[in-house]
Amino acid sequence: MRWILGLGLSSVCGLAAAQTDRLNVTFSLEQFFLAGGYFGTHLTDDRMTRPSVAVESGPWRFEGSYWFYPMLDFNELDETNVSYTSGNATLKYGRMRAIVGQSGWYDQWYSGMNYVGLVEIQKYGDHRFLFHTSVGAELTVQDGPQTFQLAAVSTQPDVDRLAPTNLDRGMARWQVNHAGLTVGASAAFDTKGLGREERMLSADVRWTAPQWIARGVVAGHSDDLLNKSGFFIDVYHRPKGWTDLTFVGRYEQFDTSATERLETTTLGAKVRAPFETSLYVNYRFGPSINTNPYSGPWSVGLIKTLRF
Amino acid sequence: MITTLIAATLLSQNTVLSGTVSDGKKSLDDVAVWLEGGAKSSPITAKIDQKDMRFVPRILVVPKGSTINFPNGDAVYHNVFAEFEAKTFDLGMYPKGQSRSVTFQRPGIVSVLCNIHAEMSAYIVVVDSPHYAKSGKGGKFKFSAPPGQYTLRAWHESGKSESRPLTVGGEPLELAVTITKK
Repeated sequence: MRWILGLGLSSVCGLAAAQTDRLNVTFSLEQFFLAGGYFGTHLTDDRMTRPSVAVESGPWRFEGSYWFYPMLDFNELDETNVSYTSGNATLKYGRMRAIVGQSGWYDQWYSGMNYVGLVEIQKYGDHRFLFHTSVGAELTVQDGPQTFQLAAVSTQPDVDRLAPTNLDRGMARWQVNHAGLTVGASAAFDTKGLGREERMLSADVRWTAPQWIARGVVAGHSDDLLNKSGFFIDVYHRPKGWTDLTFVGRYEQFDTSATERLETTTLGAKVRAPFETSLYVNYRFGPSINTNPYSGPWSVGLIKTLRF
Repeated sequence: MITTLIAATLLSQNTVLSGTVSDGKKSLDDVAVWLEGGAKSSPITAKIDQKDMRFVPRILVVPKGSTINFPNGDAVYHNVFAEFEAKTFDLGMYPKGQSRSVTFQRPGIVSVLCNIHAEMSAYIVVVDSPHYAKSGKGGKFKFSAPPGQYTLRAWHESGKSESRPLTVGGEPLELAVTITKK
């Protein structure tokens, strides 16, 4: 119901904005179907649906989206926020993804990998995963090739909230882009959420050249009780002369504690299928994380996006 | 002042060609219409935005030698590339606020794609002519050309096209262009 309210809110914002400026409204519906095992948590025939709306008028932008994840019985308000841009600065308020690593929606779901990286799907402390959203405020300043970001968000798992219960997680990010290389560094500090101090540091790199993309993220988290750290490296190659095929590869490690390490390698292909659809085929090596007997190494995903 | 007068005189010698494009049943928007066999084309600089996971415009007609900028207006990375007849290029991945450009030296159809987002596509129609237009609402188009013998050509993203001889005289021409050939 709340996502319907979100879509309704966007319409209201849109009508208000239409009085003063040109209005641009876009809707999209993303469907992700998955068959294959996944780290022993779910097995096959998965499906995720994500409707979203964006309303833009001059410096104002509203975006709202919702996840429906029936296999895990998990539904959640996704990125839903209002932002205002003035010059090279943008202030955003609402639900948004963490400015840590490359944890944007499109980096996670449009890569050709059927699963988000271990770094992004691991739970840090009692907090959310990197690929989920937090609630708060974020300031982004663009200075030529450099981007500076500051955010204050709530550490509470505010599943469908648009306003934070508190602002007890501070985050900062710096990113620089030169030619085909993008380098970023992020830090997150929590001081009040669990009554103990927590820290997270992350660095990421992205390199691109014709037919090639490589990217990687390393992240470490520590608190009074436990240290966790990990990284992934992705390589994508589109053979010259091919429009519909990209080979994908990922190597990743994650230390869940001082004694346990998850490690896996994934190879696969992303195929541009008819009707503006992408098909992902992955084969995962790494028996150390393959604990479920039904969780085979193959997975097939299909992502279809409709835009209006 | 003299240059303006000469330009005005030359323009006044052009004949206005207008009309509608259809497939025989309904009018067609976004159809490239151009004349071949006339003067040499004059390159321009144009732009295809990447905004809200779309290329805008989705169909662009430019004369040979033109340069097209591809600014990324989205908060996510895009990877623009093309592997088709008139031009092969791959601009790599770049973030919001940055732009790459490509110059198109050969006439033909260029299908532009994003390597990250399968639903994004655009077409660039590179024509060897200064006389061209793109049909708008109701399939309507309008451009001008000096009197002479030409080949009228039209192309739609469905792959349908039209090519026929056309004589342009001194009087305005109203054309009905029907594209059916694949």
